[in-house]
Order: sequence, then C-alpha cells, then structure tokens
Amino acid sequence: MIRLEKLCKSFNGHEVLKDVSLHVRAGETLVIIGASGCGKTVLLKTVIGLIRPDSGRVIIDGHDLTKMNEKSLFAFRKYFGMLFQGAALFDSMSCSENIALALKEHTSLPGEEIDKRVHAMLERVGLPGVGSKRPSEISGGMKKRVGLARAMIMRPRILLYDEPTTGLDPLMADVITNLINRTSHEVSITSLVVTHDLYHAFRIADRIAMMYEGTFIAKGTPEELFHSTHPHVREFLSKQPIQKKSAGKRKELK
Amino acid sequence: MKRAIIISAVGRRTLHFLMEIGRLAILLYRIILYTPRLIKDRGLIVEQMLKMGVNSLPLVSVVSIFTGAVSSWQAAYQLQGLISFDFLGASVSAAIFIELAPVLTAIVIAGRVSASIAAELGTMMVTEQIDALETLAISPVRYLAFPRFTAGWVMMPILVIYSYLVAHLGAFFVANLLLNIDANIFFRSVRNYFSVYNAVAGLIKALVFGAGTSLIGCSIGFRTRGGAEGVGKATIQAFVYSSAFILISDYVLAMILF
Ligand SMILES: Nc1ncnc2c1ncn2[C@@H]1O[C@H](COP(=O)(O)OP(=O)(O)OP(=O)(O)O)[C@@H](O)[C@H]1O
Ligand SMILES: [Mg+2]
Repeated sequence: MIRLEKLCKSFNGHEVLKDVSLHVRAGETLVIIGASGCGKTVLLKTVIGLIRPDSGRVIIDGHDLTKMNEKSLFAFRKYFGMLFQGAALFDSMSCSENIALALKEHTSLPGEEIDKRVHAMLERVGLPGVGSKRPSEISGGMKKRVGLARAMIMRPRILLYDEPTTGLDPLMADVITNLINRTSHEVSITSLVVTHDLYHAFRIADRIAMMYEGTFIAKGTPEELFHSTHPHVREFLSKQPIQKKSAGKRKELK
Repeated sequence: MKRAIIISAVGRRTLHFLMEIGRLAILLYRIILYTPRLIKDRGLIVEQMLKMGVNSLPLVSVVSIFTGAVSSWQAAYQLQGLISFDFLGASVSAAIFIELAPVLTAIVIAGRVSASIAAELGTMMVTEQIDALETLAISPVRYLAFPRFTAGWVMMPILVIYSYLVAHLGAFFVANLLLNIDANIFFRSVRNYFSVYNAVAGLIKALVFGAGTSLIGCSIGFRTRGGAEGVGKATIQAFVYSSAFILISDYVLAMILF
C-alpha cells in the first residue's frame, strides 16, 4: 500500500531523514513513535508529497509519488486525509466551512447533503454545535478534532495523523483513539499515526515503528516492541506507563 | 579588490532581480492556466473583488479628492498671467486622466492590496494552512492566487474610473470656490479637450498595475517562511516591490502609449 524506499531529506545541510524505508500494509494502522525533532512530521509530509525528498521513493499502490507532476499528485491526494500537528484550520472560515470545503470542491452534492454530513462528522468528533464558530474561538484540543473531521470527511483510504491525541484531556484522548480505531476497522483504512502518547499508541497500533534521529531503529507489533532490547527503545518506553497486558490488544476503551 | 566586491554585489543583485522576474513569470503562467475556471470560481473572485473594492474606497476617495484639489491650485499658480483660466479645466483634467488618477490610486491601493495579500497568504503559509489546502487536493494557485490576481486586474481600472470622477470633483471645488472659475467654463474646458485615448490609456495603466501588484503579493506570500517575523518581512517586501513595479512600469507604459 504505502512503501517508502530509502528516503533522504536535508534542510540546509541538516540531515533530517536518513535512508528511511518502511512498508505499511493495506488496512493496517502503523504508529510512529520517537523523540521530539527526530523527523516524524517531515516523514508524514513526505508521504503525502508536501515535501519532496532529496532521494528515495514514496510508492503508493505502485505509483511513485516523488516523480509525479502536479496534476496527478492532486488526483492522488484525494485518497489521502491528513491531520496536522497544529490542526492548520483555515482561519478565514468557520469550523463547518473548514470541514465542508473538500466536499464543496470535489463533489457536486447539494448543500443540504453537505450540511448533513458535516453535522454528522462534527458529532463523531464530539463537537456538535461548534460548526458556526471560527477556529480562533475554540480551544487547541477542539481545533485538533475539527482538523480530524476535515481529514475524514472525504472518506479517504489513507489517513495520516500527526499527534492526534496531543493536547486533549484524557477522556477526549480516549474518544479520539476509539474514533481512529473504529474508522480504520469499519472501512479498512490504512493509517499512519505519529504520536508521543505511548498509552494510546499501543491501543491503536497493528505495528509500531520507532524513529531515532531520522531513521527507524525498531519495527514490529506492539508486543515485539514491548520486549525489544534495543537501548533507545527501552529508554523511550520506560518513560511512560504502558501496562504489559494492554500491549498489542486493540480494545475499545470505556 | 574593492572593485571585485562591488562587481560581485552588483552581480548578486542582478541575479536576485532576474530570479524574482522568473518566479513571477512562472506564477503568472500557472495562474493563467486556471483561466477556464473563471465561471466556476466566480464566487471566490467576486469575494476578492468586493474585499479589494470596498476596503479601498475610503482611501481612493481621500487621495483622489485632494489630488484633484492640489492640481487645480498648482495649475492656477503656474498658468497665472500666461493664459486664461478658461483652460484650467482642460489642463488639470489631462493630468488626472493620464497620470494622477491611475498612478496615485495604484500606489496607495497597491500598497494596501499587495501587502494584505502577502500578509494573508504568508500567514497561511507559516501556519500550514496552505499545506492543508494541498492535502485536500485543492491547488493553492487556483484557490488563492487566481481569484486575487483576477480581482486585482479587474478592480484597479474600476477604482481608477471612480478616482477620475472624484478627482475632477476635487479640482472643480478648488476652481469654483477658491479661484472663482464658473462651473460652466470649467466643465466646458474639460469636455472640449477630453481625449478618449487618454482616458483609456489611464485604464490600461491601471490594469497593468493591478495585475502586477496582486501577482507580487501572491508570489511573496507563497514564499513566506519563518513565523510572524517572516510574515512581517513579506508584507514590507510586497509593499516595496509593488511600489517599485508601478513606478517602473509607469515609465515603460508612458513610452509605449504616448
Ligand atoms: N521546513 C523546514 N526547514 C528547515 N528545517 C526543518 C523544516 N521542517 C523540519 N525541519 C527540521 O527537521 C527536524 C525534524 O522536524 P519534525 O517536525 O519532523 O520533528 P518531529 O519529529 O515531528 O518533532 P515533534 O514531535 O516535536 O513534532 C527538526 O530538527 C526541524 O528543525
Ligand atoms: Mg511533529
């Protein structure tokens, strides 16, 4: 489904991605963990073609994204949804308009149908009634959820989440984690999730990959990662509580 | 040694200038490719036109009325004792049509429009909103630059027509109230020497100014990096570049048109 081959990317001589390779299978949820500044966001943006790598390939369904011209890249982007780390909502529009934009631009659905879908989506992310508010009038966690709604509204086949639970209270983090879980199961979406939040990482991941200074140092099922003997992995995992029994189990949180 | 430094500095500036022209040309080309969307995206275009027009009206009004007033007063001072004030209307009017209304309107509006486009797109750039637009498979050139550019070159001539009227009013008030020139004499003089060519030439200038300044605003906006500081820099840069563009292209157009 998504195959990253030997991606390298430098900014002004500073090597951010070093020979990154990864294979995400169709329908799986792969979680990328790693310290702040190790290149997770850069990697996600490379996958969706916002950043062109210096070398290496991004292959989606057999097509190399890095070689595409703008037109086919835009055609391809319709398969994708992306939640940005900072939500990146359009601040000239209300929250509903943010969510509705892609529907308005890419479909010929009538206005009421769009409104209905936007409304349903807002409800799914636990924000009924904020549709008419501007992004500047809602909290950071609410922005995240509006961003999530915007990413999901076109029912993409690939969803990229950049820290979906950061900045949310524990209850809402659970709600969003469940939503990600449900979305990827109901309609078999391929998901790539970047997070610091190990507690939730272990609940949504089919596999986890750990990034360290621009490259992957460990990949595997949550169970495998949990028992990894790699010193950096051990150190990273020891900083947050993960109960062993929860590792690898994809349970609905109550 | 010193000479080498100067030459390399001049070379670098020239190179920067040429790169800037190249970037503008590429953006212009990409915008023009979206011309078939003119009908479909009319909502976006009208929105920008209203924004530019309505926001610019107070400024254009003030600038135009005083421009007319000053030119009337100055013309009276210069013509005094040379020829009859019967020709005042004609001479002021020609200056308004050819030069004053298009250039002054463009400079004040270009400052506003180009800087506000650069600030808006620059902010969207540094807050990843433009990236977000791309992930939704919406081209920022089509969705943001195309409507602003179109509104820019359409609105500027309209504002200049408005400025023509207001500037003539300003000139008339001074002529009538301070210089005691009869309304009949003033407007007959304006009418007798009215040249369609001059008026149209002024509008062509306005169109070029409007297109150039909004293009510069978009191009600088899309290149903004580095947070709020970067947005501030982009805004100033857009203002400076578009003012320079107007003065230079005014000269070039004057050579071609007159
Ligand atoms: N556009 C850019 N220009 C220059 N350097 C960049 C750019 N984008 C990212 N970097 C650098 O790349 C490195 C990785 O950044 P990235 O945003 O991917 O980190 P991250 O893993 O997402 O961190 P966090 O968990 O804090 O979000 C950082 O050192 C950053 O300075
Ligand atoms: Mg990040």
